[in-house]
Amino acid sequence: MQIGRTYFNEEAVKDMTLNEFKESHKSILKGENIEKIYNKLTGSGKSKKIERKENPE
Amino acid sequence: MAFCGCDSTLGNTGVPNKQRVVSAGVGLIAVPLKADDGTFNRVAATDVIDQAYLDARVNDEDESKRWYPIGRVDFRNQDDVRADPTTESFSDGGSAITQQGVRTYTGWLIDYSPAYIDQLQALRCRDFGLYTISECIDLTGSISTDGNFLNPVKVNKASWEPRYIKATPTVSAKIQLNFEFDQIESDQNLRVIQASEITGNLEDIEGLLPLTAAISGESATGFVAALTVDFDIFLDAEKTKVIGWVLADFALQNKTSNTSITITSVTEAPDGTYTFVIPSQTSADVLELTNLKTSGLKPGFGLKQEIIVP
Repeated sequence: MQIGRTYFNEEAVKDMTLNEFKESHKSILKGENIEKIYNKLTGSGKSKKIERKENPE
Repeated sequence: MAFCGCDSTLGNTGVPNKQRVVSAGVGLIAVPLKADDGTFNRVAATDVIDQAYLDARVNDEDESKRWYPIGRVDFRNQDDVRADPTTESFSDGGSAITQQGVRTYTGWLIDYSPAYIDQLQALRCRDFGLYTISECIDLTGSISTDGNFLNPVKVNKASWEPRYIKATPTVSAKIQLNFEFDQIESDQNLRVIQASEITGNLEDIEGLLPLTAAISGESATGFVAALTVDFDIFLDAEKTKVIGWVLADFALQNKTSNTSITITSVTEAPDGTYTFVIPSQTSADVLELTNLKTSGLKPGFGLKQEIIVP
């Protein structure tokens, strides 16, 4: 997946913890929301959205 | 090479109406005789020589199987002749042939940079042979004993001598390539695949363009590589940057553990400078960065750079 000028291997990112991801990409993703990018790459945080769509009430 | 085969009757000497003659090559394709896996590099009689076939040979990820076209099928003043045989003279004035003469090749690559000598000299380090391309774009090699394969014609690598000739007011700059074919090769084994039997574009076949990667910022979890086409340009500012490559264009190998490394991310910033993030590697391990040629998006380039993990 491409985010900005960085191409990520999503499967490789999934093998990393958030802290590992932050540490290894701190020089590249300066000033960006690293946690948000991590979640996007790993699919973290999606489950709640899906639950809301499936159970709108 | 001795003269053999005197244990049978004479061969029938008729000839068909059409025969395939061999010309001195205007193009040479160097091929390692044997790959690292022990297989021979050769064209099978059942092969179809189309563009996919040629691309696969030139871009083979395995260097020991790769074809290395020399120059751009543009040798000039090529001379490919066999010397007179060695003879033994007798006291009655007669003589006997004891050994065939050596077949030597000389050809010029006009207006080439002296930097190309480096690529050519590397061939002295490995047993290799040549397929030759004629002016008619036929491909010539040496038929195998069983008749099922066309082998590259073995070269005496110790005789391989690229020599640079500088330009003067009367002559152009050139690389003169001199070498001998191996004495084990016999002219009667030469066979031609005609241009009409090759659907691939043999006329424009070229070797991989060598790239240089200037490595910095090495750590256990990454490094930075500035990629340039660094053929013969001295000033850094003038070197052509390799831009627009993506993660799928690269491959990384840990040479120490002989394992493939999955690259976590690649960032290009600024143009031509790539920051790699990788899983943590052991200190002092040797990594090798290459470009994927067949499955990747960048055929035609030859990137190969070692990185030592600090």
